[in-house]
Amino acid sequence: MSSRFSAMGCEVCLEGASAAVFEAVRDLFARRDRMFSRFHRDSELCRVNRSAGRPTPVSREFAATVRVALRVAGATDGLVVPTLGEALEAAGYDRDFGDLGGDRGPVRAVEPPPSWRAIRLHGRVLRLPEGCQLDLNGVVKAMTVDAAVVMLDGPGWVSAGGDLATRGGIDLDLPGGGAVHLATGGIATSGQTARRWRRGGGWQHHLIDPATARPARSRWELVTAVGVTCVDADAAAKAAFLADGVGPGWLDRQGIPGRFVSLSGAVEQNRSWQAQMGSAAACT
Amino acid sequence: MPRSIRDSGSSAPAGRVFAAHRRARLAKGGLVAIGLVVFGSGIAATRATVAGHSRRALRPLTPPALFVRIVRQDALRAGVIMPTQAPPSASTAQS
Repeated sequence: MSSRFSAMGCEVCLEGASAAVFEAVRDLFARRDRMFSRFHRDSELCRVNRSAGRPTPVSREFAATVRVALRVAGATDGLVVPTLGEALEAAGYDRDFGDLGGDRGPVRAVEPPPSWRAIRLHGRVLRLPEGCQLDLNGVVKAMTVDAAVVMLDGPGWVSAGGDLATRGGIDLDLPGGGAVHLATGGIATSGQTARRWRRGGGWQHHLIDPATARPARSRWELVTAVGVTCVDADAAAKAAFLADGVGPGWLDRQGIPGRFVSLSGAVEQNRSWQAQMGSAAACT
Repeated sequence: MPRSIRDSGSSAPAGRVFAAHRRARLAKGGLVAIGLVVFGSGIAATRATVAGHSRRALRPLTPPALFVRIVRQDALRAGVIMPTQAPPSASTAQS
């Protein structure tokens, strides 16, 4: 029996959670939502963004999240970076997703963000480069799903938006058709048609190309990737989407299974996906 | 009483004077050339070896490529999937 609630601008579903675990997971999502929201001026993220350019003490949880975000940026060759807060606001994502409403004028032009390599984190002291605005939403959501699935009493799963992590395995339908058994770890799907809004007469979405500071142009409608954790899966899916045509090969070089649905609806699976599905079928 | 060379009047001493002048010019030229070479070598060696005098572009210390590759592989690790074993009981969305 699954239970669900809303947090971080999406629906969170749990399977295999007792009432006590459900409450604990809901509290965890709510606490992290308050801490990392770009839209609540009293959140720790907003406080840190206001102090860009000078060293700022941060909480242990915030420092750990920034550390993961920097690891993801390095592992994705700088494709998935935490420095896109300003670019997201300029594209129109300046309030909770549910409150975005209709077209509210043109997209504001912004310069590409400062390099993520200029972020300095020593223990719990963080220094952002001048003009840098953090957005940690993607990493925070995936980290919270990973943390929540550990809190389950036994086999089950937790999903939030496009991120899902399991204990004990799960058969699940995939966006864009198809189904798969996730034996262990996390699975994430990132795309340009779910979390999007109208601005400047056109559709904008949340997957920003760090090179242009604009919503990325990609041949993929959505990309699904499988990681040992939800953070890994989410980072891989976003990076493969942003890598456009070389996304399947890029995931193969990391050994990560990826499934790509193009804007025309065609489905492509990279070699790692085919290998895992094929080898498993051969064993049964 | 010794006679000056100019007073000698003969052609043989004049030839020796000319040869001596030529050797002196060559020696001075050689000494200047050696001095320049030593000075230039010293400057080059100083710039190449003394901290703070390098004019070459600084190159950051980089870890070996194999190390970078292993760390990167470790940073994003693949999960395990297989064909469905039962009708799916859940579905994922996209974000």
